Amino acid sequence: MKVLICEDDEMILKMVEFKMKREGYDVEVARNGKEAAEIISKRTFDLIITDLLMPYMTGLELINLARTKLKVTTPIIVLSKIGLEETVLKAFDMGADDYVVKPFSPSELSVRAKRLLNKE
Amino acid sequence: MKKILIADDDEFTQRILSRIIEQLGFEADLVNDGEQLLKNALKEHYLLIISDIEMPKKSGIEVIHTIRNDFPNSLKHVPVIALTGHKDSEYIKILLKEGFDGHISKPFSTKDIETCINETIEKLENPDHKEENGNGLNGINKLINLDRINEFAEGDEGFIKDIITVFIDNAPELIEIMEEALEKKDWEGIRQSSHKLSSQLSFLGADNLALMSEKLETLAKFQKGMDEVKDIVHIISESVKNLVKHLKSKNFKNQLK
Repeated sequence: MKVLICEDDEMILKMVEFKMKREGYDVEVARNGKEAAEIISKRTFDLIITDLLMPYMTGLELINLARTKLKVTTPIIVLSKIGLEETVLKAFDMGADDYVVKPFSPSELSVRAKRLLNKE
Repeated sequence: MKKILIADDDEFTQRILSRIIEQLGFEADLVNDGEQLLKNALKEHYLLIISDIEMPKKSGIEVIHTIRNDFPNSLKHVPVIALTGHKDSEYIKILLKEGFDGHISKPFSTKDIETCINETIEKLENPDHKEENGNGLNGINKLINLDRINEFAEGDEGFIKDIITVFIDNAPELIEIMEEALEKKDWEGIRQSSHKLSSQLSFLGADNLALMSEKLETLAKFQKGMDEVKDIVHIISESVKNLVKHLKSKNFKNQLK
């Protein structure tokens, strides 16, 4: 299973990458929305995990671009420090499949990832 | 042993406090800044030190770190009360975690000061309480909680060290960005740096500091309360620097093993 993790925070990126690799996923990383957009326009993934607040292109912009222009149907999990209903709804509205608020537990992330992948 | 040291750059506060203290039967020494406070506190055994947070030369936070970490053993446990204009409970929790023994909010009453002195004397006579205000390693253990990181690590100690190292490398940079943004009144810069910091701190289990950063992020988002923003940036900056210093220390590294 191939996962793309998009996160500009080095510490959180390391944590998520470590967990997903442990779970046996093939992991690729991007450090902002723009980099992630370029990657998903070239390669396909089974799952995309993205932060929201990032430089160059935000997570919301990335999801919007992926769903509308790039026609990517890969499940997307949002990781965000922002738990505001408004932001959560916006993310789902743009096409996110799940939303996890930081600081999440590794087991929660892993369970949510599996759930989305089994649906496929 | 009945002397109380007061540090405040505001003459008005100094006068009121010293009068109250003298009326209560104690002697008061007055200083105007953090450096003088440290000089005096090294020379004498005070019953109590009452210190402002925002002072010239050395802030109350820098002062408490120096006393708790660098003072000789006979002097480092002197009770120190923070004098602050804030009533925000997260702010006060951080002050206590940084090593203060209590706080007095401005404006204060004679009763507030009396209660504070009595409580201090009570604690000195009943040393059980001292444990609560442990500094050094104990203090830092309360400042962070590595449970979440441990959950990720699943026993891989190298991973925990990696994560701590990333924080040690990143955090001072974020603080610098935050301070620069504050100087330029760049709200967006403050918002972004506090957002990032609050994420990292929340994973490290530094809950009070994470909440404080979150509050800063909200204030910056709505661009309001510059005075409060200044104070919060200051306390976050000092606390994070202290946290990084401890994460780098041999004591902490040994504990990880």
